[in-house]
Formats: sequence, structure tokens, C-alpha cells
Amino acid sequence: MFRLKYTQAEAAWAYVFIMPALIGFLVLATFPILFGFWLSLTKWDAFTPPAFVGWANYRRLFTLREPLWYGTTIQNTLFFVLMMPVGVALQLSLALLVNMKLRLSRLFRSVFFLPTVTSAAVVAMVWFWMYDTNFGLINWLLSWFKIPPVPWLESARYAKPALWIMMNWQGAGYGMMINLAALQGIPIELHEAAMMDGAGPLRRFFSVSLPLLTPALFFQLVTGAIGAFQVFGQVWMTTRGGPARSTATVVLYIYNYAFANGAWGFASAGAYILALMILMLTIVQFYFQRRWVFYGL
Amino acid sequence: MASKVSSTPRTVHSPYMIALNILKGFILNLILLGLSVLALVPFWWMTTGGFKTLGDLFAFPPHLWPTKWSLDGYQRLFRYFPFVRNFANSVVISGLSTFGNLLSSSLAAFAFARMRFPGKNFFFMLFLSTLMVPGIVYLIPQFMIFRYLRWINSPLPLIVPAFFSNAFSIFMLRQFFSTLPAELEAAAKIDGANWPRIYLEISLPLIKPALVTLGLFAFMGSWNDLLGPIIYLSKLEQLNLTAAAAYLRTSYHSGENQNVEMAAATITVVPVLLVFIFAQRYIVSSLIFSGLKG
Repeated sequence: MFRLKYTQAEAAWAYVFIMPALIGFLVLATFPILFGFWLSLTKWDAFTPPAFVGWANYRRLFTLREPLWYGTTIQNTLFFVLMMPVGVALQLSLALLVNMKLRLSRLFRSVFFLPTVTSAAVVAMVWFWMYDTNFGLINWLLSWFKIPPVPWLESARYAKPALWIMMNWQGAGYGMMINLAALQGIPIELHEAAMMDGAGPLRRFFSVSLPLLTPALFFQLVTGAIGAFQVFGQVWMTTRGGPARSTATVVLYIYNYAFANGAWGFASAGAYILALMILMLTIVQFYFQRRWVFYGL
Repeated sequence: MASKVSSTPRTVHSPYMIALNILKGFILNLILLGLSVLALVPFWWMTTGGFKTLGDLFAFPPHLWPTKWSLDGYQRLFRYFPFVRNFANSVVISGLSTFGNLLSSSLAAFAFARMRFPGKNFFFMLFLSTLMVPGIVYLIPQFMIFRYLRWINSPLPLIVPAFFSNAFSIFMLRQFFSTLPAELEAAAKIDGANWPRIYLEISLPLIKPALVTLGLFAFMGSWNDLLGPIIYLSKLEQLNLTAAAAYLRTSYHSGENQNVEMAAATITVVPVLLVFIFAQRYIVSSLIFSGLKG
């Protein structure tokens, strides 16, 4: 520890510099985490004092006394989580396309990134009308192929895929950028060496690029899953969880219980279970990463 | 459209290979062009939708080009909704919170990257650990804190937290501060500069591209935020643009407002698009720099 020499003044200034972050950490992160956990053990309408009920909220969520939570909410959330890797694969393909040395590839990158900077809520507003069964743009395009009108957001069957398409239209640019950064970090010599050995483009992708992309893909799968568990804005704007609760997600459920029904303790318990689900999936992902993520270089 | 694919060291130059390459380039460009159309169509639908008459909006097949350009949507938007006010709210909320985020996060990031003090790694890991906690956990307890402070129905809950930094920003900016050469500080110290001056006058100007990128992301996050405003604000004239547009969508659930909705969506989206187009030079390079090597 002799290396760490610092003067009193330096340390003092450093603490001044990190003070706002430290206060934020204590007041806006640590305290809410503890306070929220305590709330999840109470029954509280936010007007009368909270009544301590122990694990009752969790029991209600874990046993089958809350059929809506189990039947649809968790299933729907899992749909978005399980479909997320498909989106990542699409984003990787997009990155491969714009990584080719074409004259306009910079322009294409910017175009694909545009949807990413727009508000998810506003995107949902626009897509809501594009998905319209009778006058929508999408059904018109499908009618070219003699496909009869699809009730996208009005049927329990199509609402989830419709939202998934919309979210991936918006998110594709961000994933493309991350994969592109990773692709450009691959030393060109490796590709040259593989070419010398007679490897074609496909072989080079699977044997050179893909192993070196695995850290980036891992990052995307972890953060993507965390995001997919927390789908809210798009659903709130379009279907409000319907039809027949086919798009009700966990965060929508928590929002409704807290801000609409005033069941703050119960909603807090839901938030903690969701956090636990996310944590468990993250741990599983980290556990399995050594099987496929390559940190060799 | 003519272009070529130069796949790294080309070894064969036979006319056959050249023709094949040109064909490959043509097909690739065609695919990318098709995908670009897919990426842009919703923007086209939104922008033209704001200028369409209701007759055009409820036509099948849809009119990609309005048969009559009408200002009906914009007129009704500004007549019945306080959209100028919402625009001002967005500017104030997003501007202040971006400033607060950059200021507090860059201070902490500078300390973590350039200064030595006891507990440095401990505090850094502590801040980073908050990235692991999903946002939904904070939602209810933070609401209760701001309710206790009587900040509900004011923009304060959307602005003040930014002044207490953000773990992601600290992490990103630390990466950039770390790349600066140590000699600069050493020279400044010999000249008698204290740490705040080194931060403000030497280090901060050197990481401008990172500040622009992060600032843009913070600005976008705040400008595009829906959940925050709908939780903390209840009056239409207090909302930011995104939430006001959402209010149009969800409260006036009727087809007669489709052009009003599209006008509102256009006004909400265009400023962010413009900022992005001006700043994209910085963004792409910073994103690629920060990459995923950390």
C-alpha cells in the first residue's frame, strides 16, 4: 500500500468531488432499497400508517391466490425475455451488414440508429396507428401478398408479437452499434491469417468473429434481459395490458397495484420478486458464461 | 448505387471475381436500402400524418402522400392543449437534469480516475453495484420520499436526483478521464493549480466528446421519459412533451385525434432527432471508444 501516497489536500478534495454521488447513493439508492423492502412487508394505503403483515404479500404472490400475476403477467414478461435473444441475433446481423466496406455504410448506420433516440412512448403512438386493423399501413403492405387484415393490437394472439416487432424496430440500432464496436475491435490480422489458411467468409465469421464477439453478446443478453423484464411504456401506450391481459407485464401490474389501486405494500413485494427474478437470471447467465464467452484476447 | 466490396487483401483480380464483387455490392446495398426504408417508414407516417385530413387518415389503401396538406392537426393541438407550455417544461426539465448529471458525475468520475484517496475502489464498486439493481425497485420508495418532501406535482423529482449523479455516467466518464496523460496535471500542480482548477480548466475540456455523448443520452433519457412524469405530475400543463403526447393517446382514445396525435408526436421527436444529427459525429466515436473492453 506504499504506492498509494496521497496528500491530505488531495484526499479531502476527492471526498468533496464524490460527495454528491455519495449522498445520491445513500438517499436515492440505499435508503429506497431498504425502505422498499420494509414496505413490502406491510399493508399500506399511503394515508393511514402502514400495518406490518410479515411475509403475507409474498405468500399471496407466491401461492396461487393471485391468478392474474401467475396466469398471464409472468408468462407475458417471459415472452419478452425469451424472445430477446432473437432480437440480439437480428442486431448482430445488422452490424455485420453495416460493417461491410460500402460507400454509404456510415449513412446506413445513422439511419438505423435514428429510432433508438426517439421516445418509446411516441414510437408506440405512431405504431398504434400503423397497426390499425382497417386503415393501418402494415395491413395494407400485407394485403399486397393477399394476407387478410390482421387484428394486430386487438387480438390476444397477435398483440404480443406486434409489440415485440415494434420494440425491436426501435432497439435494433443500439444493439447494432454495440456489435459494430465489438466487430471493429477485432484485429484485422486474425482475418488475414484465416484467409491465408483458405477460410471463406462464413468460416471466418464462425471461427474468428463470433468467438471474439461473445463478450459483447453476453453484455447484450444480460442488459437485454434486465430491460425485457421491465417492459412498461410501450404496453401502457398501446394496449394497457389487453386484450384479455395478453400483454400485461409485471411492471404494468406493479404500477396498477401501486398508483391505481393504492396497494403500496403489495406492489412493493411484486417489485422485489421481479428484482429477484432478474437477479436469478443474471446469476444463471454469469454461471454459464464460461461455457461460451471467450475472453482470450 | 454502384459500389464495390473490398474484402480485405484481395488476392484474385480475374474479371470474373471483379464482376462477382460488383454484384455482391449491389445486392448488399439493395438489402441495406430496404432496411433503411423499414427504419424510416414510421417517421414518414408520423410526419405526414400530422398534415393529413381525417379523410386521408381513414382511407384504405392508405395515402402515403397526403392528398391535401392540412394544418388541422397542428391547429387543434395548439388550440386545445398547452403544448407550448409542455415544450418549455421539457426544455427546462431535460436541460437542468442533463446539466446536473454531467456536473455531479464528472466530478466523481474525475476523482476516481485522477485522484488518490482512501477507500477509492470501495466507493467505486459501491456506486457500480447500483447498476445491478433494476429500476422498478426504486420506483415506489422514491415516490414516497418525494411525497414526504411535498414535491409531487412539481418538476423537482425529475430534476434534483440528476444532481446526485448516475452510476452509468460515472463509469463512462471515468474511462475517458483515465486516458488523459498524467503530465498535464503534474505541470498544472507545479504552476500551483488546485484540484478544482485542474478538473475544470484542464481535464474537463479534454473529454468534450464524451461529455457531448453522455449529455445527449442523459438529455434523451429525460426528454423521452414517460413513467417519471406520469407518476409525479398530474396536471396536463405540468407534463413534459412525451407524457403530454401520451396523454393525448390515452385520454382521447378516438380516431378523430389521429392527426393531432401525429402532430404531437412530430413535435416531440424532431428536437431529439436534430440534436442527434448534430452530435452524431461525437457519439459514434465515443461509443466505439468506450466499447466493451472495460
